Amino acid sequence: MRFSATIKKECLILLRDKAGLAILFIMPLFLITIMSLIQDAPFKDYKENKIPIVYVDNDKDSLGSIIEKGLVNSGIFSVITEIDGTAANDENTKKSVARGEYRLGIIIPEGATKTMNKNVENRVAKMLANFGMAKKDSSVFQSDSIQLIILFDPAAKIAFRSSVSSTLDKFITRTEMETMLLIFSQKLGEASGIKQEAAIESRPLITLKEIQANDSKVAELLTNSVQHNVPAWAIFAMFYIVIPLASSMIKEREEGSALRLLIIPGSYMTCLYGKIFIYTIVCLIQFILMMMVGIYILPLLGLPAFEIGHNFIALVLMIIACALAATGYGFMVGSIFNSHHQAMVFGSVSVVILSAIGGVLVPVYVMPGIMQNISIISPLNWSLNGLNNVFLRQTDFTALVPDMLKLLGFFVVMILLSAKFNQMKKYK
Amino acid sequence: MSAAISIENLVHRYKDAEQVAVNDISLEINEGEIFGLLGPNGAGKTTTISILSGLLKPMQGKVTIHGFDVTLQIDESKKLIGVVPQEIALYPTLTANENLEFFGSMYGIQKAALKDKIKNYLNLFGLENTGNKRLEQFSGGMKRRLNLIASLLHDPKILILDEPTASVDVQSRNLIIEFLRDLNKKGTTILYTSHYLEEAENLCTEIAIIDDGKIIVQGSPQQIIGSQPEFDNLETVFLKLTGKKLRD
Repeated sequence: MRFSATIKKECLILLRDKAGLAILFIMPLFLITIMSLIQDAPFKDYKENKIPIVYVDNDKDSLGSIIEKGLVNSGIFSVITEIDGTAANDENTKKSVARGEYRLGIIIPEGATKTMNKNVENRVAKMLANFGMAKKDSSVFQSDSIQLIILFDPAAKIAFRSSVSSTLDKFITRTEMETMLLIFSQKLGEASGIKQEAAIESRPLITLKEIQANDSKVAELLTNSVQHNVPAWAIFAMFYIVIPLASSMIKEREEGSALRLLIIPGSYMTCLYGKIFIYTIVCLIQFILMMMVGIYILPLLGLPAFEIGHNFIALVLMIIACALAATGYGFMVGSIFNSHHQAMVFGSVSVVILSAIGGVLVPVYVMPGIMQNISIISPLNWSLNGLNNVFLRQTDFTALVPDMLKLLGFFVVMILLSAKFNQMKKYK
Repeated sequence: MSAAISIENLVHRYKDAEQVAVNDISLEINEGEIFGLLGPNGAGKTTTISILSGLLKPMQGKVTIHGFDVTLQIDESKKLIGVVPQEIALYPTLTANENLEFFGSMYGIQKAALKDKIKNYLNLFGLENTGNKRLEQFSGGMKRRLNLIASLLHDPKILILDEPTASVDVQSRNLIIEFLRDLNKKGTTILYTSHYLEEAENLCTEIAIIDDGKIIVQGSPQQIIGSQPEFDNLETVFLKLTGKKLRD
């Protein structure tokens, strides 16, 4: 009777609190939509999101053309040769990259092809001379290296610079090798007196092939921003229940209704179980709504539809465990703090910290080692890991058990701590 | 008459407080009495009531309600008392009916009986047309009356009221006082605190004046006034006994 009365009371209070309802249901939907849209770009194929690169070809010969062709064919870059209707040159490229109008520029120096050919010929001649297939001539062994200039936007991150530099370096090396092989085969033919007609095959001898550890359908999901963002931000929003829940508990104490509950025979905690039940249900509704946004709304905005997978029972149990952990945390914050201000600041900041270390904002595997070790203490990490097992890895139920147990254990600890804090408040 | 409330050598000090809030109080409140616990601000009245209500654990001493120890038999003692707190201990966004239904259910009162009680009490306190109105739309006097009703639903044998008539208009105050008299005639013991000494003088059968955590005088209003022949009312006696120094 007490339990059902509390549930009815909590429902009425919640339904009449329009601002609270907006925080609980509307804000998370906006959050999930906006975060999925923002974070969609990094997940998209590079072909869809090419990096613009200003290309200044002062060489106007084969090397310049090969590099330009290589940049275009890489699929990573879109080559820009004009800035504001003017052909890109050293000066306007430097200025526009420095101003951040373009994040990247590359300048091929004049005579680069000639210098490269000369360098390659010299090296080949030296090699042949070493094998006794040509005369030694010390004057031809001097070589000047070609300096390609890469310009970066000063605000470009180090990770971006190194990834672009390494991509450019990769196909410049390849171009260099191909040219060297071509000249080498020509010289070898000349030296041996055998006509070298067939070009030396320059196809790479070792290539990388990326294979997912699970089936191809799952592999598609792994490169899908919605599949990553919806569960991550849904968990974040669920844990944000700390604000309305703690606020409701503090309000009850401030308004005096908690005092009356304390005067009534029976444990005060039993009066609060109805609150836990209702807020756990709220968390579940939040999660379902966010899944619906992923399935029905995000595709309307050009994003892929969210796939909930087939392990429905495992999913439901996992969400219940997450909801209980989130509610337990809110309950503990509401029990510790005496003012709305304290609870709101602590609640919101702690959820952001727990989500950051838990891998909601940035995946755990890109964090420094120490943070990866710390991440295992975050209930948001257990929640995210469990849901990723359902949505991305599509594992069986047994793989979810460790995270589920951690979340349920966290809930129990939070409730016990809350009971202790409430007891301390009562008998001050 | 048997003791409805018995307090023996009660001592309580709040955590980090310099002074004790209640300093070795002993008193007995007999069944059927209207007992006034009077004193200036910070005298120890609310602390005593909080201990009786089970909200605070006393540091020393023994408190029983109809023989039940308030610290050891807390649920038994709580069932016997109705407490009207100083503040409006109700939910502002719930209606009068919803508030009373909730608190009545928390006492385990059956739905049908509860509905009848709520209807009767709302009529009795002139709130019959406000059952479906939210508490936040009530006037101060209406809130006070509803606060009192919420403490009566489980028919307590002892009603403890902490300044029940504070900040209410004369009409509401009169209604509350008349109701308490009627309730007492029906056998309910009443423990009451107030700063309205004239009201206490007229209502109470027994009074204790408490200051700095100690009872400085106890007796019927007539006995207390009679003990100070130069004064003819409780307020002047009270001022003489407790002094004119302002309290926090």
